[in-house]
Amino acid sequence: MLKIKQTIYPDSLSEALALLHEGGFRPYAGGTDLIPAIRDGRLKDYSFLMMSRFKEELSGISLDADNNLRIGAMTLLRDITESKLIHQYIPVLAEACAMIGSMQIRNRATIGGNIVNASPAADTVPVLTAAGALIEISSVGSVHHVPIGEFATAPGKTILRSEALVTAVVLPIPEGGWSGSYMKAGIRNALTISIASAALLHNPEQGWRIALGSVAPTVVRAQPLEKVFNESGSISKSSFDQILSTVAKPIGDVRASARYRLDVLNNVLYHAYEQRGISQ
Amino acid sequence: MSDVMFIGKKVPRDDARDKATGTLRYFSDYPQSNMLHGAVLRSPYPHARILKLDFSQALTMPNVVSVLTADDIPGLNGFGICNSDQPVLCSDKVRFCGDPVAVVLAEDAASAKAALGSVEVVYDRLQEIRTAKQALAPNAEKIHPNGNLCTNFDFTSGNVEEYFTDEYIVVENTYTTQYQEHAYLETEAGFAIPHADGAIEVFHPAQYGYRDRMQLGKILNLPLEKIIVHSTPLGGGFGGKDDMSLQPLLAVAAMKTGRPVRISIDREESFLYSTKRLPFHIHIKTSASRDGRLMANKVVAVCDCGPYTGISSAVLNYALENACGVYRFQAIDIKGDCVFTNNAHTGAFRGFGNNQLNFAVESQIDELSMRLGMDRHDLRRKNLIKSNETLNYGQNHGGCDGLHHAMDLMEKSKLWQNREAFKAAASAPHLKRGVGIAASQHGNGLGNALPNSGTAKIVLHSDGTFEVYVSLEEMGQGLLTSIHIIAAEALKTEYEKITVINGNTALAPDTGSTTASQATFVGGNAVLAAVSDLTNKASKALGGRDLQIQNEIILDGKPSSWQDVAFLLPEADLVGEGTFEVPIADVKIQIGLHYIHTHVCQVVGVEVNTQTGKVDILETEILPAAGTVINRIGYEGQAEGGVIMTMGYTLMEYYRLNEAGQPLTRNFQTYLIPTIRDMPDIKVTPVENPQSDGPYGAKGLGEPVTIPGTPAIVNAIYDAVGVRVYDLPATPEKVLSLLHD
Repeated sequence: MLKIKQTIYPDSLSEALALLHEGGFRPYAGGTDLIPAIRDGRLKDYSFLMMSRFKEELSGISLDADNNLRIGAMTLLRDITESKLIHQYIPVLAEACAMIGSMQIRNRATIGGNIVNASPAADTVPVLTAAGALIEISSVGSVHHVPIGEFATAPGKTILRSEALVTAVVLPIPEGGWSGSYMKAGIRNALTISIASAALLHNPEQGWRIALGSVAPTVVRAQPLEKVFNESGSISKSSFDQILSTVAKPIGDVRASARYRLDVLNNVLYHAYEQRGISQ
Repeated sequence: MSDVMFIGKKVPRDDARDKATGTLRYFSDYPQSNMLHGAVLRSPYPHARILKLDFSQALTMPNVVSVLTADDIPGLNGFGICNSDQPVLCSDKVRFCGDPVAVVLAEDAASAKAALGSVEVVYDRLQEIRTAKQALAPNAEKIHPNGNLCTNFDFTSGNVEEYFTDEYIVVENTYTTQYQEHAYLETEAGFAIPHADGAIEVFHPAQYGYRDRMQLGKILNLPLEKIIVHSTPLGGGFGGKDDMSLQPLLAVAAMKTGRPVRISIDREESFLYSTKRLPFHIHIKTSASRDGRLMANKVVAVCDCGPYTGISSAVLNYALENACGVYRFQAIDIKGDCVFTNNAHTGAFRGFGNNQLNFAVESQIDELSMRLGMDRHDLRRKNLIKSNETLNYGQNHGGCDGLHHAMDLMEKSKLWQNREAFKAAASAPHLKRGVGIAASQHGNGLGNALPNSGTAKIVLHSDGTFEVYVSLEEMGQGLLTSIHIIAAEALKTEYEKITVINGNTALAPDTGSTTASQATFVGGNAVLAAVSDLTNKASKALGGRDLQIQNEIILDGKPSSWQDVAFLLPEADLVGEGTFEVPIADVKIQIGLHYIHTHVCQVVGVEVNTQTGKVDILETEILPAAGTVINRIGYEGQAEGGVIMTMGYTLMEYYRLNEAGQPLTRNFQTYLIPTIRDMPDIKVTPVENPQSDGPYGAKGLGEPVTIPGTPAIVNAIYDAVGVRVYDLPATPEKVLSLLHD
């Protein structure tokens, strides 16, 4: 039996924010990260604020007049993988979402949940980080935006206060959109937590953007590598490895050693580096 | 074969609809009224003496009714398939993390679990034996009074050293394998009901209800007729439900309290307590003449028995029976130790030691072929065992024409013939492809050291319908359906007119264990014998009239039906019984050698990502020579399942313990088995050379299809990237580190 204290079902976002303002509740969107945590006994004394009844207010993907792509926080990962707008402006986000969990999970899991859970292995976060996404945070009487790079502070920890909800992800889309790729190293082809991951984005004006997952307490932008990618010429693999090590500081755990995580990123990113002229 | 009605056709499983709609009841699904619920207190330490056990505080906890300890066991506080050295509840010491010490019984499961912390146990830690080396060291702490060697094996024939000179090509390596968790969907759960006349009825999934009954008799100090065991259905077994788990606790608890008792354990407790595949350390030295004839094979194998014997001694013996694979050597020297440790408890697991040894042998063969400059298929073909020759221990056997046929078909397979084109088709330079092959044998039955027979019963009712009774278990392998098909074919009656009843010691006779890939062979033959007996009895009951089964029922030379025959019988029900004894090898050495073997060949095409070390299996063809196909759907399902299970074992399933002896991989979050997205294209090619003494020519399939996959994959990886995996599993990290060396 799952031991939780209470569940409540507010009918609207404003009702939810008012309840969160009173305190004592934890938001529950798709629940795909929360159910294992509850089962493991990590969340047994919590009460949950269920978001299902107002999910329409927080779902959907749209492009505004300033070329910002707005993704509602409760948009399902499945819908992101199928979205025409995403495929048009930042297809690599659809690619990354398609690598999360399984079809069953993607039918329930939300982009907001993936971000707020703040695992350094979260597969939406490297692409969003490389693209310079903003996290929209709402609470009673306030809506503000935080760059995604400042949102997570440590594994499982964010700056989100208990009275606030993440309501959207906002992506400024540069002229020409973002092309790129997402690499996820795992032990099997589905339902696998990434051991090391890298999002590589490119735009003709903005150049290269690179963000790495599972190799630091949070997802990290790899500006030193971006610099190398943006410069012409070519550096050796060992020089490249050295630069990578200044950004990627993985730990070893039951899934993989630190050495392996670095080796995989070295191999994959150097290969992408050599191919960068071709793959733009 | 001519005129078969059912054999070899695609028959949906008897229980498929019930399973798919969720109406099938497993033992955890039964409603509970007046039932007590048990929670098991288990040792947190790998090795310790129990100095004190005080449950007085637990008895005061809400809804707690009783606490069971070793003092409550009426008879023998011991069980185990090969040796009864495993306690029902520990009394003087604990020998692994998870060893049961007490059971709290309460009105509901939550109250039982909540009270566990109130049982006070004081432990005195002992030296923890974590490796074979520690176990066999001179002053090692003894896990059991007789020391830390569970069993050993030693057999030589000829002089291997003659063939390890420079004249020969010699390949010497060490191979290691890891634990594997059965990962059956159904975790252990069941209940026991005490009857007013002193009988105990136990409901718990098991692979041999009759053996459970025998062991429970000793534990409860009850005669066998006072114990009824229901053991089917199982939500998966794979050998993991061969040893008893909760049954003794349920039975003793029901007996003590006089109330029905239920225990259900979650996935983490199942991982902790249930048996695992034995890890092996294999040192092997193999030689061949320069013209490609295999000469000598020297093997020293050490396997980890864990804390109790269970069936592990038999696993060592069976592994070493297969230490030469499907090849004939001039001289062999085969040694092994099965060693007690305070690590995880190990036991039967689909393949039973053969997976580990076949991995070593078939890897050796590939390395020899490379050193000889010989085609990998040709070297194998040149040295195969033959039907009219003895095997390496000097024993006769039931033939291997199927092996030769399967090898021929494998050589002609598209994947092998077109392997260069397959390899060239990789979509990027960092993706390297390779093709590997392997061949294997797998004995059916228990081997000649043990009694090995099975009895079936058939009842003909006056309306022409039948019941077939076998004690064999349905654990998802489709056994029930196979028995049903064989019975229908033998009786030449409509499929719907037969009901198969199994898994109940009060109803079905002992048809042997559902292990050792023998259920179809033994059960099928027992059913045929029962049909024959039924036909004879029917004839006599009709006053000696001539009754024959050909393509239909023939009575006094005229076409008839079972309905007509039943109508004429004087009594309402007619019972036929038949027993089948498994044929045995003629040579008896210290281990039980098998007579009937199933042979399987497999060819695998892999792609290795040289940036990540990840190995994907793109396609594979498996060619089982398992005699006649009984149920086409069931046969293909077994073969595909076996391929996937072995793929998991080879590439990703990495069960480990931490420093404290607790599982590091506690559940499916970190113990990874293949998903549907990892599944390759699998071609199943039945090689139907009939087995002369099999039912309609059939023999075992369940385990054999798991054997050749591991070496075929490892050989394919070598073909792709030139590195050899000697230590399983071949995770991406393992392969990448080999590539970097």
